[in-house]
Amino acid sequence: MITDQREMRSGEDRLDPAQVLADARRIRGAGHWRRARARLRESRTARWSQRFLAVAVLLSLLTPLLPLPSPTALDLRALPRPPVGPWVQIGGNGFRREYWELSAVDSALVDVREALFGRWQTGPYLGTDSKGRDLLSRILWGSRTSLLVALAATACSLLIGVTYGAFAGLIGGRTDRLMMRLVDVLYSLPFVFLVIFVLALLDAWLDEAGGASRELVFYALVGAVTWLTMARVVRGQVLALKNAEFVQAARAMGASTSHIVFRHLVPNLLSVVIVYLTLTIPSILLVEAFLSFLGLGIQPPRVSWGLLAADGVEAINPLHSFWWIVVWPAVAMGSTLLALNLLGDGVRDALDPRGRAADTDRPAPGPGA
Amino acid sequence: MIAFLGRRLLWLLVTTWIVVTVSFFMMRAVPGGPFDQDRSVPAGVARNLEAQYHLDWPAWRQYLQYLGPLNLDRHGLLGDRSRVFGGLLTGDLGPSFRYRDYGVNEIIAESLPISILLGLAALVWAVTLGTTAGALSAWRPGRALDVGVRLLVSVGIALPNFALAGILILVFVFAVPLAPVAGWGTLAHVWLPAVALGSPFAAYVARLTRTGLLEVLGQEYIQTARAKGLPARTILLRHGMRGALLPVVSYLGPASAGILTGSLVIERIFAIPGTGSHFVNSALNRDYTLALGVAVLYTVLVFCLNTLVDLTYAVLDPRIELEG
Repeated sequence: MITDQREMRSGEDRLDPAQVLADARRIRGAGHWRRARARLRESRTARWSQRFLAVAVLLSLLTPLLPLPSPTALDLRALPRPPVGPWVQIGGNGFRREYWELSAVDSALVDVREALFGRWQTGPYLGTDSKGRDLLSRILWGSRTSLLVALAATACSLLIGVTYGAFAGLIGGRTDRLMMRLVDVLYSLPFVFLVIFVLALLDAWLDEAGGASRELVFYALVGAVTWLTMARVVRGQVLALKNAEFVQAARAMGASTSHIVFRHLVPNLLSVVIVYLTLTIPSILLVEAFLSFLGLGIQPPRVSWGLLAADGVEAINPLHSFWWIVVWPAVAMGSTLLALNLLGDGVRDALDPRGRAADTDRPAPGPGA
Repeated sequence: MIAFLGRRLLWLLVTTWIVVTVSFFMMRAVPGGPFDQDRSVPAGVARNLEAQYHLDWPAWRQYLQYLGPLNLDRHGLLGDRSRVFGGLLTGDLGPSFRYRDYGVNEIIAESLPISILLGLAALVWAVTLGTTAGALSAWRPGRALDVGVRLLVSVGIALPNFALAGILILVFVFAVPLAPVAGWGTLAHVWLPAVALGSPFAAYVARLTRTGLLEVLGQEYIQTARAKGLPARTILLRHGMRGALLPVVSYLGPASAGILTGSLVIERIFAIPGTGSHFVNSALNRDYTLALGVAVLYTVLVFCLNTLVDLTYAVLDPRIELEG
């Protein structure tokens, strides 16, 4: 349609300026974001991943409200119980309010849960673990921890990476070269090993400081090691944008610096950052699970998916096959990561249909590699 | 090329020095000595232990002793004149604080071959399975085989290796007993951990191979080969693979680094006495010298791997210039 009108006009000698302005107001081109959203909606895998993740996030947000058994109440007498269908055993009374130190919001939510359901709790739909704790409840509470770590650490890496990269790109010159050289050097370090070393050192301090600050340090550390690629990507984009024709055009037309930054630089930077975020979030989830699995991350009695996987491996023994303790955490983690990866692929394709940005800097699979 | 290697060597030295220095002083700043967790020992014994490991020295002297520009061993400053250099400069990583009477070097010498064997097996598995699956997938894109492989690849990339290891143990140790549950010693002990360690990387290699093959197969020289009437298999394996393997080769560096990282977890799960499990235990037990030693070792190892991959890459594709 639009091209038709242009072609019609190209035949005319003079354009009526008023007509052009009126057209410009009337015809709204499909913007970058709208086109991206349309493309994302076309992809079936991306749609299903979105739905899955929405349900997962909703469930983990609402976990304290659900009539689940306590994730930490031990029952050491019995062997692990296999999963039962809700049609066999819907649940029963026996809820005990046993948690770690919950935040104010969480304990308020648990209050509501007690008011709503009383002592009633669901049955072991996914079985119980080797200490008699309900696996479904542990997986859901664990998802809260793991997703929170992923969000906090991503925010941390976003902050450092974008600031560092944008700064280097904007200043340019020798400072830029020096800053990027530092990134190169840091790139060559085996970060997971250094993080483990630092966590071991911090252990002594953090024992004194207590649980909450320990987790804060953990988030910050995980975030601090994942900002490198973000910095590189942002810097590259800033360099490209600084000399882009449309930015020069805006400057020539007398646009103010803040106008250029917020109208032109930020939106163009944003899509690159989002594309790279879709790679960062899953890899941070993996790093958290990896470190918690080794006993260096989240500490019991709190739960995270890495700890659950460690419980599963511990429960493997030749006499009884407690398969559910191994399989369900793996399924939860695997399906979440799969959905995140697929959604990430979709977002990348949608925002960057020519596939320029992320492919070259895609991090290796596996934690921290 | 010589200049490239020289620059890289310089960077390696600088990087290692920074890592060692920062880590060393962090180590010294931590409250509590390495013997605090033991049964409380009499004050005299504690003093003797500290004297044996030179913990009573000021930090700068301990640092010089660890780094070894002057060998301060035993007799204090310039005491033992027979060896001027010692410490890290001669490759000596010092004593372990937990394994009494063992040096970090001895522990690494015992455990590193195990880790290398496991890592190599995992890498071979990843490359073999990955390239095969990728080629099969690119053979007829869009067909059932391709769709199946791509599905498996997505799952393989998403599933962390420790989750995969648990499931593999359930299947191949208990359901179909093909492997011993854990431990080390015979060849039978190698394959299951190697598969668990290598599979996520195999999935990634498969994806790279497939993408590379499809891209190469669209090139003109492939059409020429087709026009000449070469059989499809020859085109795919001989002409296609050569171009498609370049991304795979460049991925070997990150893959090896990732396999090293993954070995921390896999060695723990399968109770393999490799360097990775020593490292994790040293971190959990606050055996700082061992942890620092292994971290230094891995820094050097990863650095060399990356350099090697850059070199291979330049050899395979002459258009690439060596930088950095």
